[in-house]
Amino acid sequence: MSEIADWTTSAVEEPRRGRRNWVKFAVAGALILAALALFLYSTIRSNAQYFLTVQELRDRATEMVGKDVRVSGVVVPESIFYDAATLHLEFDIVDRDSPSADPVRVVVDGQPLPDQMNDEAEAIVEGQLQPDGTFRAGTLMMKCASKYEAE
Amino acid sequence: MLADVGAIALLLAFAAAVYAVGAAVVGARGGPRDALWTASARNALIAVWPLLTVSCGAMLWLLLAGDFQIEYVASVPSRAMPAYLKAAALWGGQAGSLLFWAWVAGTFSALVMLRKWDADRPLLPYVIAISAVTELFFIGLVIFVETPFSKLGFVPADGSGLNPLLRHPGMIIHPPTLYLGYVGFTVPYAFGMAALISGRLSDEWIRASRRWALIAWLFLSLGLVLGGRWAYDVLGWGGYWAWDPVENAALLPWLTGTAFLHSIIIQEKRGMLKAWNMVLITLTYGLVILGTFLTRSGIISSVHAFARSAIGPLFFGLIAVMSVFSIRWLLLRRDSLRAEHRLDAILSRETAFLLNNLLFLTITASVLVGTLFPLITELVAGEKITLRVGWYNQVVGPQLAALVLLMGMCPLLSWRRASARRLGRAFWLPFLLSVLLVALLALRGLRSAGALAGLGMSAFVGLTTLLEFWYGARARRRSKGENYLVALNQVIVRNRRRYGGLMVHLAVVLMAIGIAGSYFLQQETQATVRRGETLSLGGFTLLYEGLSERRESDELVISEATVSVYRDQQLVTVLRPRRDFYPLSGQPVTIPAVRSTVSEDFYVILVGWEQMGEDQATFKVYLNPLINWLWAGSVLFVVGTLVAAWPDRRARPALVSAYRPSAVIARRTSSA
Repeated sequence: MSEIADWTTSAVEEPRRGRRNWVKFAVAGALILAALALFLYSTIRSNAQYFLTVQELRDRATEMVGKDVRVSGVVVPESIFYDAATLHLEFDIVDRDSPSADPVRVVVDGQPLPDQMNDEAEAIVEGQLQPDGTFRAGTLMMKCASKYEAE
Repeated sequence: MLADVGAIALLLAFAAAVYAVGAAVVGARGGPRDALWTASARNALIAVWPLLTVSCGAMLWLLLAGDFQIEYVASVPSRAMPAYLKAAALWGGQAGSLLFWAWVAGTFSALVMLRKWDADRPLLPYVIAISAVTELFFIGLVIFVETPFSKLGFVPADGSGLNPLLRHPGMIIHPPTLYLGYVGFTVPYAFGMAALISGRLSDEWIRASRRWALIAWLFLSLGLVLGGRWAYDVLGWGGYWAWDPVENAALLPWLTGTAFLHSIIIQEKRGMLKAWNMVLITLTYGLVILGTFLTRSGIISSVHAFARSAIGPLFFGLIAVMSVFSIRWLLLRRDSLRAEHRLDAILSRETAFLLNNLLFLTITASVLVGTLFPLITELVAGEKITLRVGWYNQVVGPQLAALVLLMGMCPLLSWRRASARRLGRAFWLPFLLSVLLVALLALRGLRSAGALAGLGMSAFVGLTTLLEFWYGARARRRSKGENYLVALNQVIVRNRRRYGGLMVHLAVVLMAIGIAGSYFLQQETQATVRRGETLSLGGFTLLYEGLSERRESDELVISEATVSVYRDQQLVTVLRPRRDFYPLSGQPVTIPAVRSTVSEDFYVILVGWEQMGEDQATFKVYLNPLINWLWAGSVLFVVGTLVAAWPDRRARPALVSAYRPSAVIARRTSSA
């Protein structure tokens, strides 16, 4: 930010004063940057979550229990259980790169069944792994097919 | 056959662009005969457009005719799709969208070439070279990497079709609008670089390219809003913005582009911020390319699934080359970019503009950090970490609020030196009225602090802006004796840039009201009800009347619920939320039913009934207060931008120093 200050204020006809101003604006710029960095840092700590694949979640299961995690994986269509009356949804997700490995069971409450949830749909869930191995998600997003082409 | 025509046209366009770059470089030497080379380069760049049009036209024809031997056509539309969706397939897939992108860029370049160049002729060869290099990149991609015209060894019976979720008119307008916005920023960037390289660093390049920047910005804004509206109408989650990386990718250049549009005013009026404007337009163009790179390389995980492909590194290369190139010239010319004036006072419009720029940049930095966070943490700590959506609201929300507040004050500050007393006189009435409004809302039971703050602030900013119109009209009425309407119209017409800008500010206020209302006051509920039973939300009662199913065609079965909506025992409306089912693809599409009014949207989604029979159904209901202010604001936004961009008869705005107050002159006679 200091450069802008330099360009705006440095006076061609008053070089000495321009230099003093430059320092002033450099300090102000540094302070603003520091404040922004501190602001971002403090908010990031409370909003960060691990971003894992299904495989990584399985590999690090003991370590991840109870932590905030975002997982993306491919939905296994025949595993979907949905009770519309209570909006209770359960389904398995498998790793995109190793679909034959063990799935993770995801449990979501209070959300309608997404339209996109069918063959080979990819889900992104945010929540915590439970001690019993299921993943309780607060947020469920489906990758939306923005493009015509199948992946 | 037609595919060959398209492919050959592409090759010719590539050749023409290569020639344009070469001839422009020769023309830039500036000798007497070199002007001929520049003229020739210009013709070559213009010729690129019809060639690309032939190529795009061929692709369009192939799509509409359903020539499935072409791999791209087979991968996209199916026979049964309506024609408008087949046409939209042009930008529906990777290769096609790159071709379309090249065409849009070609259109912009050709239009720029056809403008009047009398005054800015020395910039011409550089503008040609930079536009042509951008063209070359995209044409090169569709010739060598993602080839739209390649053929399959066999002819499939039908194409794979478009996901029914995308079968929406939004598919026709949202992507091209965004492309126009993205690509449009090439023009001011090319002018900026031309000014840098040629060393003609007065505000010539800004006057020549401001309108182009404004148009690009308008399309980018529209693209963002249309995307939000489409999500709101179709996806059934009651929201319009999710801070998804793909959305952020389009927002980032919008932020720096908006900062640019503001700070060029300072350069025109005060001869300041020259280097800064170069930085901003370079940053904007860089973010456009970065956005394209992010959304197409699959490097950042998004809820928008994009085809992953090998073009990622190429984009990365373009960003690198462009950055090095721009920074090199910026450094070389840094001495000529010095300001002609200095800041005179802390309380002045210049400072307010600086603060505005600063906020736009800190917001840009925040969104960029959030978007790239998984990438950064993976590089630094070897662990992918993402930030929740809530983080953006927490971090960007307050900064946006500060920006809106500043927006209300800035137009009232004088250039050079503003007086606190005059400001007080301008602000007391709006301030008092907005405090009254907040008190009134609180008395009527509004308890959300965020909503009160947001609405109060919007009212303050909206009123100060409206007062500007009022003062302008009143002054003119007094001096010319016209009635208020005529006076208001004259005031706007005579200073389109200022009042167009103020209209956009008003639009932003309306949008802020919509965002504050729908963000802080949204209510939702869900329930399973039997026929004849009700469900309540926020003073509304929904009565389930029944469900019907009908087969529209072999491709579509519609299940539609009928619900009556009551408020205070009065029937307000009958809504029909439904679910369309496409048996061929097994894809359901939930279509919400909405009752829209100025004060709120009552948004009903049919969630389920299959397991319970038609006597029962489950609904999810959202109450989105004030959301229509967001959409209404967008319309005013477009109108205001057009007013500001409309060609003015006067060629050049007066410099402020030409009519600075005598008191100020007396005090600082030394300054130029």
